[in-house]
Amino acid sequence: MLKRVRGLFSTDLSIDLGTANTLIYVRGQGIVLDEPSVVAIRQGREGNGAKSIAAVGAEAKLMLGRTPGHITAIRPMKDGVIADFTITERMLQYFIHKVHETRFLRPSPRVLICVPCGSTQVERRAIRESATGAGAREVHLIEEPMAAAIGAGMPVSEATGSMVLDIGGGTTEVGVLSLNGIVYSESIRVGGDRFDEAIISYVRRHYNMLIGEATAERIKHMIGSAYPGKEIKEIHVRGRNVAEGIPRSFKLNSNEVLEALQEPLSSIVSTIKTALERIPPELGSDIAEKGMVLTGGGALLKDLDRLLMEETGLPVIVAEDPLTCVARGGGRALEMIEEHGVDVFALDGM
Amino acid sequence: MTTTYGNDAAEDGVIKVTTVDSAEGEQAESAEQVPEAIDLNGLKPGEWLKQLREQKNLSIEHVADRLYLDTGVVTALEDGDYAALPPPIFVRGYIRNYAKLLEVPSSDELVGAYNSVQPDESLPMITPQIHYGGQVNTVNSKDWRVRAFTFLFILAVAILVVLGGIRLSNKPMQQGGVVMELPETTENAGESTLALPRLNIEATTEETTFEPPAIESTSLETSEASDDVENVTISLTSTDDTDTQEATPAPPTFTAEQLHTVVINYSMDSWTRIIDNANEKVFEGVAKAGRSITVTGEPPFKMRFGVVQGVTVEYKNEVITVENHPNRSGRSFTIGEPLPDAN
Repeated sequence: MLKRVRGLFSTDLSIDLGTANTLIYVRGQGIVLDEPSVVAIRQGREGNGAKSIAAVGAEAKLMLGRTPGHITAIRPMKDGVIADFTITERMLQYFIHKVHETRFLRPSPRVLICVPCGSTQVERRAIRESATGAGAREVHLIEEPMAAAIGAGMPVSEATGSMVLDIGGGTTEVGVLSLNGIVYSESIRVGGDRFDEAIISYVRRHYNMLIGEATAERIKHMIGSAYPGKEIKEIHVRGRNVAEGIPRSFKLNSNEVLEALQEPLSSIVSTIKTALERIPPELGSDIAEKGMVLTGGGALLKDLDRLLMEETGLPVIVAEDPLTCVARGGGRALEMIEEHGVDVFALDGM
Repeated sequence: MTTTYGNDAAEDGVIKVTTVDSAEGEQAESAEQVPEAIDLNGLKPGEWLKQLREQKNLSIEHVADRLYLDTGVVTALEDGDYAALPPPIFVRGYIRNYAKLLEVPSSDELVGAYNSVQPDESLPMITPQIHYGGQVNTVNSKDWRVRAFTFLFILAVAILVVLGGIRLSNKPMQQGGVVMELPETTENAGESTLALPRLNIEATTEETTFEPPAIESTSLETSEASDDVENVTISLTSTDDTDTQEATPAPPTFTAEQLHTVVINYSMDSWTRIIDNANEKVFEGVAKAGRSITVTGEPPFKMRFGVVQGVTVEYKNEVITVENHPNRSGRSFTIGEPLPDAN
């Protein structure tokens, strides 16, 4: 009874705690927060040198790689899991507080967090604890492929196979779902970050130039593609020449970026092929008929759907607004939990 | 052909786009045929795509092959036969892929046209509002609905509290009032004095609670007036632990044994201590449920019980029930009066 009354006043949040971006979906309001998962920490100068948070989110992302000695900008999530527990907790606290004002009559929110399906119990526990520490009343965990599929609008509750590929910042998840459950899922630690790293190492090998992560990300956004197209785009990039040690400008074209991305892309393709190999044939035929759906930031890589279509011979569809699919799906999952009880999904309850 | 895009994000980066002719072959020459703005002219998105496909001299088989779809699905898409197609999310994807294949610059209108035909229930209807930077759409309590609801809730709680308070405080007040009035009426209407005690009995029935001082004043009169008060069950509101006294109706009929004996029946385990007028502990200890103890001593008896709900006390052939306090189970009170002729 009391729980119900409190539920009226509190908000339900669905958090996509991603390696690259954290998104918060509030029930009834949509996505209210979309910020990079970056925290800048200032080291205190006097006394014991206590650390304090200098900036969180978009502001902190600008500081990445550009910080003076006493500030460090870090990404507390790595490969889809928590790399720095306390910082993640502070970051979550900041984000939750930002969307959920604490007031006298407003209890702490109920929170659903999406976790990679490959994460271990220890990693899940860490995420749960940090959400509780950040002021959540009740924490539910849902596996990312499930949330992504719900968010994309796939018929997950029906007795038909749905395949979703969620390429996030840190991980890529393949999930085959049917009847609100995961039939097969696989998570590999390849994602947008790995694309950036691949570009960095390619540029270093072929141009003898060092570029930062932010630059590599920009190259990826602007001219990156997964399949050779008819257009060749070029971009001017500045980096530091390794031999001379002086910043220089150079040109990079989309075919080179495509070459750089081959390695991470091929591991994604092979994961999909493994998945198609392992699932029951009935579900396989469902998927072959309808196709698979791409979500996550990686889906925005140009012509990735074309690459996957050519490699697998299945129709591939990019979901609408792929970046927010997981958070929206989490929100929808919360509503389904409200309607049908916690048992709708194979969730990790409290 | 070289075009230069404006670059909004960064200082370093003019993107040059070079189109490589005949790399992929077939569709390169058709770029000029694509209309800039999509004008559906009331056509279904499938029909519009079909027209464009026919303009480009592409066969259904070619399209199906390129999109890795069955020809049946492509036909259904072009005919707008949505019942034969998978759920809306896939159809939207097919339309987008198809449009991309035909090099339509933006497929939003086509998908929009499809959505208007086939509204999607499975998708959360709330359009995401993304706020970058500091401006965040906060879920705050300034919303009028939240405020109104909070206000009503507080009001309801306040009313409940006030009502509850009145009821609680009313109980003793009313009874006190009744008892206080009675003597007055007795004095005023001299002849009806006999009837009045009965009235009193009827009105107050079993649950009657007497405020100690008032009891004394009435009992004096009632004892003179009638004898049938004997059967009245008197409950003691022993909010104060010490000064509660039993109303003694005209007692001379009791034997010495009755006066000196108290029988206590237990329905629950209770710690008990009974001290008589001689300051002697006539009983102390825990009595089990179902037991009945009889103590003899010199009245009045000071009794103290651990669990008063589980105890009935019989004294002078009367059952003395003790009113329960909702929160406290321990209680002490005194029964009996000092005998005038102490033996």
